[in-house]
Amino acid sequence: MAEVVIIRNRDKTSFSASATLFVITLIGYELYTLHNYAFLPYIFGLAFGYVIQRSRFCFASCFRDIFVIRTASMTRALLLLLALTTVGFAIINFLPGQAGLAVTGKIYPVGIHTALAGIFFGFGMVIAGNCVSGCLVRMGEGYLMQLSTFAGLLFGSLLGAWHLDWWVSVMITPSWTYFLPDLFSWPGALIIQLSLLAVLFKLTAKIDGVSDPLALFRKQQGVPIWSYGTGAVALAVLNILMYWLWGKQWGITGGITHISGWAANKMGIPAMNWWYFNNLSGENVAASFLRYPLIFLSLGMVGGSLFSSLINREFKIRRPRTAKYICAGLAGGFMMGYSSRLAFGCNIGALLNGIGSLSVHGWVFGLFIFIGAIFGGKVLVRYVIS
Amino acid sequence: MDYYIDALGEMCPVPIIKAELKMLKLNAHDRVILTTDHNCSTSSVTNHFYSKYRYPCEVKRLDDGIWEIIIEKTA
Repeated sequence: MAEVVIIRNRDKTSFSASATLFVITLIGYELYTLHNYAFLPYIFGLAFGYVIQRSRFCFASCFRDIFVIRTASMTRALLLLLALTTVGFAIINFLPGQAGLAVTGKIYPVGIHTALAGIFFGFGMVIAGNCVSGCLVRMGEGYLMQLSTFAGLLFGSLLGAWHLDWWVSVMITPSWTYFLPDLFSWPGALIIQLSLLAVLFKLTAKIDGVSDPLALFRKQQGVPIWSYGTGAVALAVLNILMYWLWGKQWGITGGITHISGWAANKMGIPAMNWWYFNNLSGENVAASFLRYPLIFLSLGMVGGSLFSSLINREFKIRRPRTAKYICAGLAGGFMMGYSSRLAFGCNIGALLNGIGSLSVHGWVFGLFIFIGAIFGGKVLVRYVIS
Repeated sequence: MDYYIDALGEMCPVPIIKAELKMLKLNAHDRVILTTDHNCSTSSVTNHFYSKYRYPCEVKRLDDGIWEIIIEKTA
């Protein structure tokens, strides 16, 4: 086959990139002047979207690829991200003027609900082909499949928020919350957690035989993309910086749930009376569903990814190859949305920041995501992609 | 010999699975040429084959969001 060379109108792409930059800046200016509370999360959302788009960082791959294709590059990048986040959050905890991780960290009760949420989340993430952050970034890159995943996330998180009243009364309230520094003191907790991450890092070499940690920073020639290691470092720096400047850690599904809560409320469903919206937003939610700052962070992530893919000439409207992918995306999104309400966050809020905040629920969630991903991998290979 | 694989519109990790299944049947110095429109493949496919098998990979951009990934079976 002869080499295919397609010449495309360069001006059209640079026009789209400039137009996107204009709109992104306009929204930023608008938020800065009129809704200042949403400005920082929006800016950080743009940066998160940009970094994930550039580095191809993928949480789904961390859990799926170690047994579906027996590669662990992404898993090592996640372990590096977790270690850096742990250290960064611990430093911020002791800075003057900070409330500390015990107050502002993602520390939640751990119990059977965490395990169920992990299994659901892992399964959904694998059949959808991406996690929650990945879904937003893929949408910015022009994937149509992820629109169905996003719809699934909206429905799932709404149902999860509705059912949360029941879960809280039956399972979550009787569960215990474990903050590692309370159990082992700060130095002990850090030593235990970092050693565990290091051991897991070592163990990944058994999967694909890669024992050189610097392989994580190997750059692919021919395409302007970052290595997974660079992505991990950049995401850790952004998350720690945002926590320091804004006082809150990276989160996504809270924003998505508030969008669906707003829509439900508009349709006459009394979502503002649910435990989730009453307890976690802490303000008059009926009027302020759409004022939830993480909505702007999610919007920023889509915008950052769109801009990054345009200027690097990687944007394309991508149609899924079969309709099966749309169904898998919808089902996976639904499962991720529902379970992230149970676990108090998705792969970012519960896994990354739960572990980063030295909370046991993050570890338990991660372990059961892995188990869910094993089941999801079997279903994916047997039914979805066959 | 060169073997072409069309992975346009596929979800992750299908491009890798398709390439790996083909690769197993090939002889040394055969090449798999994978056409993909998945952004992640430009990194995941090359990482997989290089780190696991040491097969050299080359990524060529065909158009906005479309690449050709050339993987050579060395042994």
